Amino acid sequence: MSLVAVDTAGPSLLDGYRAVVGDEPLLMLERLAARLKGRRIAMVNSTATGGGVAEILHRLVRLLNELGVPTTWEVMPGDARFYGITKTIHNTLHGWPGALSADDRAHFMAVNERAARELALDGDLVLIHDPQPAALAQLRKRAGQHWVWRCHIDLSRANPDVWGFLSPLVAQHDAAVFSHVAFVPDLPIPAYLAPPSIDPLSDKNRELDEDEMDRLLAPFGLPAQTPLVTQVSRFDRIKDPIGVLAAFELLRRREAAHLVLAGGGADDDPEGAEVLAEVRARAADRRDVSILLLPNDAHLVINALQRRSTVVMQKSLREGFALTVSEALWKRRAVVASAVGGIPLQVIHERTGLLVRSIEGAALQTTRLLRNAALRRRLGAAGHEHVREHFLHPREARDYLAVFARLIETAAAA
Amino acid sequence: MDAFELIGAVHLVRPTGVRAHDLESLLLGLDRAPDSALFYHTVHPRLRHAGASETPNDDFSHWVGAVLQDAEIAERLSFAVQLHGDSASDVRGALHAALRASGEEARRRRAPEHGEFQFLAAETIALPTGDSAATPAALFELLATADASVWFNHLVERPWYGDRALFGWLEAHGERRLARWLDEAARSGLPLERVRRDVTRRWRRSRLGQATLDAAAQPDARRDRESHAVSNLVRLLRARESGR
Repeated sequence: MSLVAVDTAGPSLLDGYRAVVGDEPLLMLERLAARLKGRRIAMVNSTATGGGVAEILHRLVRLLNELGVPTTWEVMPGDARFYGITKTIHNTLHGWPGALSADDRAHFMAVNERAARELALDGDLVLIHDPQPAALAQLRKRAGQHWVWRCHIDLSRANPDVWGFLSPLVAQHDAAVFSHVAFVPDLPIPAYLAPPSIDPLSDKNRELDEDEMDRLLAPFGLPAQTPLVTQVSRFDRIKDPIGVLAAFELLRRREAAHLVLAGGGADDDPEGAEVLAEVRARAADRRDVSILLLPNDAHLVINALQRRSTVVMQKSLREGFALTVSEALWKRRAVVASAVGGIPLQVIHERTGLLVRSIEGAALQTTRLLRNAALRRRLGAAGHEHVREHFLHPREARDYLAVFARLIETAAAA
Repeated sequence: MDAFELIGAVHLVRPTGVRAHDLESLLLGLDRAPDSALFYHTVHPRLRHAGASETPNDDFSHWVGAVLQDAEIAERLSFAVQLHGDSASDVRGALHAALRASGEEARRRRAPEHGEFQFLAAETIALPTGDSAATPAALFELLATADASVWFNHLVERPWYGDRALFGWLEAHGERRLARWLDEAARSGLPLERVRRDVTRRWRRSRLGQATLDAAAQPDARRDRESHAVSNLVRLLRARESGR
């Protein structure tokens, strides 16, 4: 079954968001939803669990339905080989080495053809997330539908050969949405900017009391008195967990701290186990490092970990956006993060966090934060407000609805 | 009487493909960029920072100050936008003049890698509020509680693009003074919430005077009745206090 059942239990998201962001953003959403009255949205991606996109869709789909815009979410079928190929596509679009063979391309298209046969795709408005289902527009788009490709990847250093394979498929859409202006390639369709967002009401981000945090973190035996430095990310080379370990080794020469590397895997990421093994080998002799392989639904544990951390790190080598940064900022944490991808949108250096460009920089700035509680508080407070204004779900929902409203308006005028 | 409908707006942001890496290319970019990009970088900050305590900075001077580290040109650009920001051609000309005043050396100073200025454009999605009014007084009461995007749309964005429908409607309906207040407040460059506060206070004060005049013009019998009612109320309150 490709249709994802979204959890609709609990109080209304609309009421919850109103309490967090105020009336005006919700008013805009309601007006946009009114403009799209009678239209249905179909979201499509490649996994229902693990990774930022799946997390966003679980809540966004519910929010759009609460707004009165009927929205479904379909996950395309895939196999191990397909996920291996799409991992290569993902990495090479981020500028990592790799190549797609003719067989890889043929298999990619074959899986998309299968998806085109099996998925309903019956929305008036179809939002395709990331490269995996990018061929569906060419295969299934019918008259009267508006298709938008939503790219969560940093394409600024994309492998030209791989992008050359994908871009004609992307061009079959009516518009594309990117997280950052630097990611936007040359395309013959309109491109819009809309960074992704987090859910302030979810288990990952809601407030937790001290007892709840104690209970959630008890199984991991983390030290109570030593400051925690944490990176939450799937075990992936582009998240640079080895670089985090190296930076931690440097800072430990001068400061007491305990490093937590916590992450899970995504269903469509076949490389995770290999990277995890490398990380474990590197940290094998250290008692001041905890490596936590968490299930995809460990949202409350991640929430507690971030809240208990003195410093949250995101030392990625490439990033689409890094929602973990917004999550940490929302929790008023002091963040040290690489100046890559969409991170500088979230971390404004010296205002909402500290940006770094090297292992030494990560060690230096983390040490600085460990030593300065006032700086941590100042950055954390500014970071929280920055996320409230720019990176919560109501804003992302508004942007998608606005893109669709624009496409409908343009089509009507044509 | 024809009603005036209040309309809000959201904006989609799109890259224009025009980029600048120094003052020289910023100057060229100003010529190549569409009006909607000048709008996004010089006018839209007022909506983005509607509740700010001071006039929000434009993106050009922010980039020149923060990335090129040229505080003098940043000041001049900021001043140019604030003084000449009423239309695309005005602001383009004023920015040109400020940039041309920069020296050779300043013009050659390049932005660091990844620090280039990307001209972005705003596309407007109009959002009807469902609120309309047939008289200026009724319209202002709606406006007073409308969201910031409604103020921005009617007072700032549309006039910037040459559409002065709100002011025209108010004038046509006998409220030349309110039209002028709104227009002046919008052109002041002040943050939108401040504009709302100032104009609302001014309007209410003017209405107070009108209400007094209206009361004075009421027939004697009605005034006597109201005066009698107030006297009764005072007696009642005194009696309650003395019985306590």
